[in-house]
Amino acid sequence: MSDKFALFDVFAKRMDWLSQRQSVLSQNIANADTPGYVSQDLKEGSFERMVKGRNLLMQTTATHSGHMSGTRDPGPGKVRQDEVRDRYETVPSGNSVVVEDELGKIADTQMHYSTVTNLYSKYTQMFKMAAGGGGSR
Amino acid sequence: MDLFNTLTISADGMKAQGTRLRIIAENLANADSTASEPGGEPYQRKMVNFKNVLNREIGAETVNVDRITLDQSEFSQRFDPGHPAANEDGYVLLPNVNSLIELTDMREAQRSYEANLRVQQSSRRMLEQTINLLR
Repeated sequence: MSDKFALFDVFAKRMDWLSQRQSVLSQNIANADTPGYVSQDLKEGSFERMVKGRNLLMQTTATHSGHMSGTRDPGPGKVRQDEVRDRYETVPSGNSVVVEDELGKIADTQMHYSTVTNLYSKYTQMFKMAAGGGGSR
Repeated sequence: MDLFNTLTISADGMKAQGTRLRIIAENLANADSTASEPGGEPYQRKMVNFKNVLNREIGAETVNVDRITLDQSEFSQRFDPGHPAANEDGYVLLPNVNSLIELTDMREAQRSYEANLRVQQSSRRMLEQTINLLR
């Protein structure tokens, strides 16, 4: 049963990620006229990168019961990225925010968000149906 | 929560663009303001500088108006000996405001303002969707 509830956790994490991305993108829009500002974005989480990030960092070995384990958490690696690829529009002041591009990304984020929230409520309905035994009323 | 922070960030952006628009309005309104005494300097065009600042409270980079500087470019002159601000050669210094530049700048400020507004609408919709999960 617990694996069925785990899906809620997945939804929550996805919503968290999407709202963080929204925050980063809104920073870009707010700084659309700031000299020298480089637009930022969040990297989509990938399993490969997570595995690589974990393997590269060496863990300390405890050879004695009094040894403490390292406090360094390998973590999933760097998540936020500065965009360095060639933009077709970098103004002379060094600002590389393309408003249209950012708005497109925001629309994308919003769409994904509504997908997740819809899935969430559908899933809740299924639970209600199972618990109530009489379908959604 | 991140979505509430987004609203703050966009609001800061809109505030900065609002200040910019106010300065543009000042420039345009004073496009013909000459000096009151003979040989004096006319209105000098103002410029807004933006700066990104780290808002520690929400942990995000927001935008602020850094400082408002004066445009150091040359004043144009017009020969008008009868004008009260004319110097001894009969020339009047005119403000270095180019209304075409100001209008272009105004459009840009408007566009940025709208973009921030769109972000805010989008974030608000996402928040609404989250709240609707409680139903």
